[in-house]
Parts: sequence; structure tokens; C-alpha cells
Amino acid sequence: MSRVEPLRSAVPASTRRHPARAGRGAPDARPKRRSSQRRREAVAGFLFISPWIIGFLVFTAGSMIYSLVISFTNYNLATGSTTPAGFSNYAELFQDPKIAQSLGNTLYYAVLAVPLEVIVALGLAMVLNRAGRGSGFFRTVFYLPKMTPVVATASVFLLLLNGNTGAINQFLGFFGIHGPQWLVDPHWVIPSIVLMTLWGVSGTMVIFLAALNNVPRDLYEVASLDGAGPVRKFFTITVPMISGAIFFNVIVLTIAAFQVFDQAYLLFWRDQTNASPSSSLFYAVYLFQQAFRQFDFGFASAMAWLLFLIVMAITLIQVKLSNRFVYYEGDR
Amino acid sequence: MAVDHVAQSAATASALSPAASAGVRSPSTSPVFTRKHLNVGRLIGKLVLWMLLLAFTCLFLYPFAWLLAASLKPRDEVFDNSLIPATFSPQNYAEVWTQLPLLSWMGISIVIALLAAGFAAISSSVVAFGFAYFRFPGRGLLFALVLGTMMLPTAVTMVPQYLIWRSLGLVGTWIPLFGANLFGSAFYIFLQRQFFLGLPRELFEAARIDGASYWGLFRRIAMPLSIPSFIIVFLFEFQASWNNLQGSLIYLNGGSPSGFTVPLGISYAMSVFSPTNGGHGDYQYVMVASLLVTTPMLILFAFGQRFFVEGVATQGRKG
Amino acid sequence: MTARRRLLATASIALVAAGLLAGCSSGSSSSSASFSKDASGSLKAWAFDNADDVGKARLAYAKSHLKGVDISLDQTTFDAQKFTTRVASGNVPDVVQMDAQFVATYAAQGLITPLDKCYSIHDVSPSSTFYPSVRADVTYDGHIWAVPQFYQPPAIILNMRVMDKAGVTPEQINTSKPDELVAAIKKMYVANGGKPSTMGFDPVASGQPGLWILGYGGQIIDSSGKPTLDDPKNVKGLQVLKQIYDAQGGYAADKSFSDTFDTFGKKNQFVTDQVGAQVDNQWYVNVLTPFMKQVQISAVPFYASDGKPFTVSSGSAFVIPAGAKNKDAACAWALDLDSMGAWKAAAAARASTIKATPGAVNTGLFTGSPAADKFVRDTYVKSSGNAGFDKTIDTYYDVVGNGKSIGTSPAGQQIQTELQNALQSTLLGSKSPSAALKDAQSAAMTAYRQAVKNSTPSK
Repeated sequence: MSRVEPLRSAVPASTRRHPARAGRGAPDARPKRRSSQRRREAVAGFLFISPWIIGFLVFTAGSMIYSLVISFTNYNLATGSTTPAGFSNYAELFQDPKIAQSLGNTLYYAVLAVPLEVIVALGLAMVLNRAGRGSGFFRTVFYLPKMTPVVATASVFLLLLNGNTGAINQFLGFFGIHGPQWLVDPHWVIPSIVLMTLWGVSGTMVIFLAALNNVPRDLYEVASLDGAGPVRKFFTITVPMISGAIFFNVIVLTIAAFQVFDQAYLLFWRDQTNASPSSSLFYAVYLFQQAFRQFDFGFASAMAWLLFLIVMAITLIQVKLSNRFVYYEGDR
Repeated sequence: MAVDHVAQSAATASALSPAASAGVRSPSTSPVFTRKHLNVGRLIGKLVLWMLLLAFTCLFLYPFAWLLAASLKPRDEVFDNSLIPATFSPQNYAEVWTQLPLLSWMGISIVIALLAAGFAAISSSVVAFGFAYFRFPGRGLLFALVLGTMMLPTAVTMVPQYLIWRSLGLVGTWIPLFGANLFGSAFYIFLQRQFFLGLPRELFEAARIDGASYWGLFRRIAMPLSIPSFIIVFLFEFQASWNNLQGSLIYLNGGSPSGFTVPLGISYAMSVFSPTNGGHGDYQYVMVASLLVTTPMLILFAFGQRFFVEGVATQGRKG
Repeated sequence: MTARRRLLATASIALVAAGLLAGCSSGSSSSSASFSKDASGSLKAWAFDNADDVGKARLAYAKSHLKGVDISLDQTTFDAQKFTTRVASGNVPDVVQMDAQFVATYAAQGLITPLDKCYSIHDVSPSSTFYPSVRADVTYDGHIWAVPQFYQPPAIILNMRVMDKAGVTPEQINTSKPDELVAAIKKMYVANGGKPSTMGFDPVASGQPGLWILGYGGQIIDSSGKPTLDDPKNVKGLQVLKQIYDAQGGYAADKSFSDTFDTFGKKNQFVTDQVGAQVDNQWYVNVLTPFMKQVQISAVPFYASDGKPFTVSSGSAFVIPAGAKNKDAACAWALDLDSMGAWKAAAAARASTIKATPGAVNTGLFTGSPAADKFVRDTYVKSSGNAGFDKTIDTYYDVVGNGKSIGTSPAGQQIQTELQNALQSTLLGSKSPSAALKDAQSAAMTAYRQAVKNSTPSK
């Protein structure tokens, strides 16, 4: 296990020693040879990153342009032919009530899930951070759900969330709470999926745990001497010191929330004959249905671009906001 | 700085200890009162902490225990939430084995995951070394582009990628499920670049003087030293591939069930046994299958726990 | 290394080029739909998943009639996404079994072949072979698109033990008199700590929405294939369903309760008295026959609002995809499987299975063809010695001729889904029936518009 050590020390080291920069310290005596060597180094560099460049050109940039082209066409599955569609697929985005509905569902999920994930993960991390010697064991236990395949999680929670006999409502019953009809009542469908997501929140937790470990202890001790209580210490030290990790998690979790597919597909949209509440229709599920069940590639591509713009806009807003609130170590 | 840190905390500790051991109780001096209060408070704090830890442990482990129990129950007991089956039915396992090609799903998923993980780790490592070691024009911009692609929703490229694979006649084969990994993947490139940046440049300079080629630098120095980050990428991608439902639905669902991957297979099992789809509502079989496909991941975690945790933790650090 | 990189580069350039070309490539245009009587070569059939004794006998019969054809079966269940995926990748089977409700959608998209000439060349007349509603289910745009098989009429199975205990008579389980029905349900309903432990009547709303809407005079799809979910006559069915669920704990609690039924097992809802009555398709009687000693059942038809017995059709059908390579063999095979001879062989096989199984009862076969149904009933369906079971079996036979088709539409599936949505939001009380139907109609119209946009003029 000690094999991991180099990496651990490597990460903070990045600010200390930059191999590329290190070379600059020793100026070469022969400028002529230096420039040819530079060229050779640049060529080699490009060769090394060429797999990524090719992949980027084909699977990212090329695919994005291709997707844009497709969004202005109609694809006919029977003949395999495409016909120009103008802006009709984009116009359809505004006419199809399911677009607004699935976007609304997805947004609701994101608004519910992201803050809860951050809060729960941070809470777990803080508990673990104080556990001392036992933390390794508990960290392993908390991480297990993250290892469970989503398909398995979904099939287990399908039964755990039964409104009458499910274990979750039985548990709530001990406290005299009459649990909801989780997966049947449309109002509780999205909270149900949030619950499944929270069960696997340990990935986010580990990021917080690492961030908490990096907060200098002396800060807390100084604050204690000043008579600060735990709540004040949390808000004046912990939160600012880990604001970078909070910001990172919020962005990553938001992007993920907009792409939620597996749980909703498995529990509600697997069979076309299923009677599923409309509140379970996530944007990614509807997009998938349009693309690979109806094979309406044009409309699906227009949907994908709408999603791209929304995610872009939200991420930009978050970055703008973070510039105001996030404290970076480097700024010290 | 670290030394300062230790010294400072040691100083604080020693400053506090004499008063604490003396145990003088003086209502006029508030610090002493606080300390006494703290000891009781600390005890309660510890108690609360351990209760919280235990409660969360139950919460996180319960579904596993429930799943194991349910997989051993006959159909009419699946919903009873008892953690010990009233009627012990290990025959569920034999039944699932005959009804579903589980072994074939796991075999296919393992092969695809190995290829996906191997390709991702190797190609990302090569690209990351390119970004970490070499100086070339546009490097900063290109690396920013690498990071930018992490934000791109997969949906945007889903349809064109399908059309690309289809035009190559590869829909229905395993290749689309790992092929793109040959070209590196943004997060893994980022992760491995971080690692390479931590290696001292002198190592490479020395090898250059000894006449090593650029490829040799990578092959003989960078790669052997970066095994930990290589393992992290490998494990991450292995898990991601094992979970890849959407890809399997797009590329493999047209084939016969014996050619499915694990996520597609479980989805299929849910349909086969689902009462809304003509099945018999045999949830116990779905539970058996779910348990069996979870096990390899738990084994993987048992061996590579540190790598998973380290790898995830690295994500949050600023690049 | 350089060789490998060159290979990579070449491969990726090929990928880009091929990818960009893919969008412009055009496939073969579909369906001239002429058939020949000569069947030969190899036949790939998909989704014949009901290979029980009946299925095997029919397969054997068809095989014996198609001596020169090499038949390979993929017996996995039909899956809509899988079907379109196979069409998109050009890997289509020659004949596919699917739920009849999918047929019109694929017909409109040009993914399957019209079978008028398939029928005519084999001298089979659809109108004299099938029940009118069964035929209507696979007819769209003036053509017949499939060979339908099986016809599962729903009716109401009564749990006499629960009914007697609550003092409810079969006459009170009359869907044409909702008020009496609701009163009877209340008498039978038993709850335990707020959770249902006996439902008075499980109307299976989500499984049978068509029955409830059409049964109260509503209309889901008009003759041109457009959705008509906002038809004011559709409100009544939803209202009655809501009354029924609200009389016994509400829809959500009942749905979660019925999800836990051990429907096929030895603790099913009739053995354990979890229901007083339930809407069931005919095959469910077969499930109950092994438990004849533990259950006390009878049956009544679903009565339409005019007081007449009523049912809707549901069944499966064989279709031939537009890209099928061996349409002639596919046509011959599907018709052979559905012929009188095949049903006779199947009935004989079923009879011998039953003879070999102690206590088994022949509940008959519901083939989709009146002549075959009559033959099976007259030849094999004898008194079981249990009056309740006999009454149940007779009820299904009596109602089978009163079927009505939901109608066919290019967006048939989506219209049904929207109806389900309207049903759910009504039953859960989040919308009024008319508001729910109005929303469903607007969503269904969008789906219809999209379906028509993607439709291919056939012929």
C-alpha cells in the first residue's frame, strides 16, 4: 500500500517543482543546438499528445460539429436517409410539452440532490475526520455503496422503497411517520431517486475528507483560544478553507445531475409498456428514447445542444459566483 | 513550515497540561472552568461521534444485508424485510444460473472492462507525459481544452459517435464500448499529469545525457514510477465500464441476451421477471443476479481500496 | 511506436471520413410487398417467446408444412428498443412476434411490410379468420400489417370467500352501476394500520386503461389515427376508477399493495384473500387451476355503461420487417402457426398435458380466431367438477366476441403512455380528470405529429 506514497507527495509538489520550468534555470551554452533541440522537443510533445488530439478531433470536436449538422436534418429509420429539416427540430423543442416537463424534472432533481449531496457528504467527512484510529474502517464501509453497480442499487431500492412493505417506510414507521408511496406517487419519484443518489454519496465525501485533512490544525487551536465555538469555527475556518473542494463538488455534481439516466431508465422506462409517472421522465432518458428508440436523430441532437447550452450557462454562473467566494491556497 | 506546525501545537499542548493535571477548580478563572467543561463535553462529543458512525454504518450496510437475505428467500417472503429468511432458499442461485446467462455477462463485462481500463490507462499516461514533460507552443491552451471536455455532457456526442461506429460496421460488437479509450480521457490525463509533475526533472535530464530517447524517458522512467496513478486510472475505468448501461443499450441491445454486458443483463433480468412485462414478479432472482454482479466490484475494492480513495481525493485538488 | 501511431492516425482519419459520410448514406427503400407462395431458404424468427406445450405443437406443425425451410428461432422477448436498434443496424430478422399495439406504429414508420398479398396468395381471409376487433388492431391505413394470434379478453374474477364474508353478491360487482359497485368494495375492503390487507376490487387501472375508457363510452384514437384523449366521454371512466380506488385506501396504497402480490405463486392474491375481485386476462385462470382447492372463484364480465358485457382486445401478432430477406417463408410460417391445423395440434397437445397432470383443468385456448376457439371449446373444455371454475371459464368464452379495438395510430404507444399519465394524475388526485386528459391530449398530439413526420408512405 505504500506504493501510493509517491502520488501523495506528488500532488502538492506540483506547485514546488515544475519539470518544464526547471529546465529554464540552466541556460544552454550553445544557442544553435538549443533551438533545434527545442523544435525536436516540441515535435515529440505533439507526438505524445497526438492520441488525445485525434480523439478530440473525432470524438469531441468532430462529433459536436456532426451533431450540429444532424440537428438540422430529419432521419428516416426505414430508409436510412436524411432530409434537410431547417430549424424545425429546434422549433419542436418549444412545442413538445415533454421537453419542458423533463427539463423541469431534471432541474428539480439537481436543486434537490446537489445541496443535499454536498451537505451529507461534508457531514460524513467531518464525522470521519474526527474518528481518529477507526476512520479507515468506517471510510471503507461508507465507500462500499459507491462500488455497487447502479443496476444493483436500483433493483434493491425498487423493493426497499415499496410504499406499504418497504424497509424504508417500515423504518419511518418506528418514529410514527407514515412514509410516502415513494415510487408510485409522482411527487415522491424524484426524492426517491435523490435518496438512491445519497446512498452512494461517498465519492464526494472522500474529496471533502482530503480537503479537511489539509486544513491546518493550528487555525482551530487559535480560534479556540479566542473562544470560538464549534459552529463559528465551522463557518469561519472550515468552510473558507475547503471552499475550493465545495466549489469543485458543486460543479461536478450539477453536471452529473443533468445527465441522470440509469436509475430513472431502470425503474421507470425500461419497458415501453410500463405505466410510469411523468415526473420520472428525466431529460437524459427522453433524449435517449428519441435517439435510440424512435431513432429521431435530428430531434435528439437538437435536444443535446439545448442541454449543452444549459449546462454551459449554469457552469459559467457557478464559476462567476465562485470567484467571489472561493478561497484558494495560492492566494495567500 | 511543517516543523513550525508541530512545534506550535506542542507548545499549545504543554501550556494547557499543567493546569489540567492540577485540576484546580476556581470559579473566578473562566479558562479552567472551560477546560473542565470541555472534558465532559469531549466525552459526550466522543459518544455522539461513535453513535453517529455506527448509525451511518448501519444505514450504508443495511441494503447489502437486505439484498443478501432477499436473495435467499422464496418469492412470497421477499417483501418481509426480515434479515434472516424464514424459508432458506439457496436454490434461487441454481435457478438464476439456469435462467440467465450470468457467467457469460460477467465474462463479457470483464473482457470489455479490462480492455477499456488498459487502453484508458496507457493512452492517458502517454498524453499526460506529453503535457507534463515537453515544452511546445499552445500547450497551455490545449491542456485547458482537455479540462474543458470534462464539462461536456455525453449526450452531445452520443448520436454522432453511434453513427461513426455504425458506418464502420461495428455496432453490435464490443469495440464501441472501449474503442474511444485509445485516445485518452480528460480526467485521467489530468490525474496522471499531476503525477508526472511531481517527478524530479533531474531524473529525466540524467537519462537524456545517457542518450535515452524521449520514448525511452517515458517507457523506462516515467511509466515504472507512475504505477500508482496507472492503477488508479485502471481501477476507475474498470468500474466505469462495469457500470456502463447506456453504452451497452446503444451498442449491444440488438443482439441476443447471451451477448449482453452486466448492466444490460440486469436490466434485461428486471424486464424478464417484471410483472408488468409478462414476467412472474420473481424479485428474488433479480436480487440474486444483483448480488452476483456486485461481488466482483467489492473484491476489486478489497484489493484496491487505497487507490480508489486516493484517486477520488485527487479530483478535488486544484490542478 | 511510429508504426502504431501511423496506424492510429490512419484509423482515426478513416473514422472521421466514414462518420461524416454516414449521415449522407441512404439505405434501400422499402416494401414493394409482393409475396410468393414458394417458401424456401432460411428463416430467422425473433421473439416467439411463448414456447409452452401449445407453442411447441404449433411450431412443429408449421415446420412440418415448410419442409424446405431452415427455421432458426430467437426466443427472447420482444423489446421495442432492440427492434429499432436492429433495424438501424440493418440486422433484421425475417419475422417478429410483438404485442399487437406496436403494429400500427411500425407500419406508419415503414419498418414493416403490409401483408394483404401475403394473406391473398395463401387464400386466407382475415375478415373470416379473426374476431373483428383483433383484425382491427393490426389494420392501419387500409392495410393489414400482421398475423394476429391469441386474444386475451379481460373479465372480472371474483373471490367468493371474501365476497360471502362481506355479504356481497356477484350481481353487485357490476361495472355499469358504479355506485353499487363502490358500496360493495367498501364492504370487502380491510385495512391494517392504514395499509390495505384486502382490496375489495382491484380494477388494474394501469394494466387495462383501454377497458375502462372504452367501457364507459370513451374514445382514445379516432379512425384516422389521431389521439382523442380529451374527448369529454373519457372523463367518466377515470371518475369511476378514482371512486373505486378512493373507496379502498387510495390508488397509491393499493398500487404498492398489489405490487407485492405473489401473483403466480402459491400465496397469490386469491389464495390469501388479498382481493375480493380483480380484473384479469383469461390466462390467469390457468395460473389459478393448481390452487383449485385453496380458492373459491367465480367470474362476471365487465359491463359497459349500457349494461352489456364488454371487453377490449389485447394479443400479439407476427410482423415481417421491411428489410426481411426471406419474406415468403416468413409469410408462410406466420400463417401456418395461426392456421386451424396448428390450433388443432396445439389443443391436442394441451389436452394431453392436462391428462398427464393430476387435477389440471382445460380452460381452453383463446386464439384470436372464432372458428379455432369454438373447436377447442367444443372438443376439449369439459366440466372441471368445480362450479366456480366452470363459471369463470364460461364467462371468458361468453365475453370474447364482444371485444372492441382501441384503435390504431402511428403514435399508438405514446397515446397509451399519455393515457396512463392522465390516469395516474387523476387517481393520485393531482389533477382533475378533464385537466389530466387535456394535458395528455396535447402531449399525445405532439407524439402523433413527430410520428407522422417520421412516417414513410408505404406501398
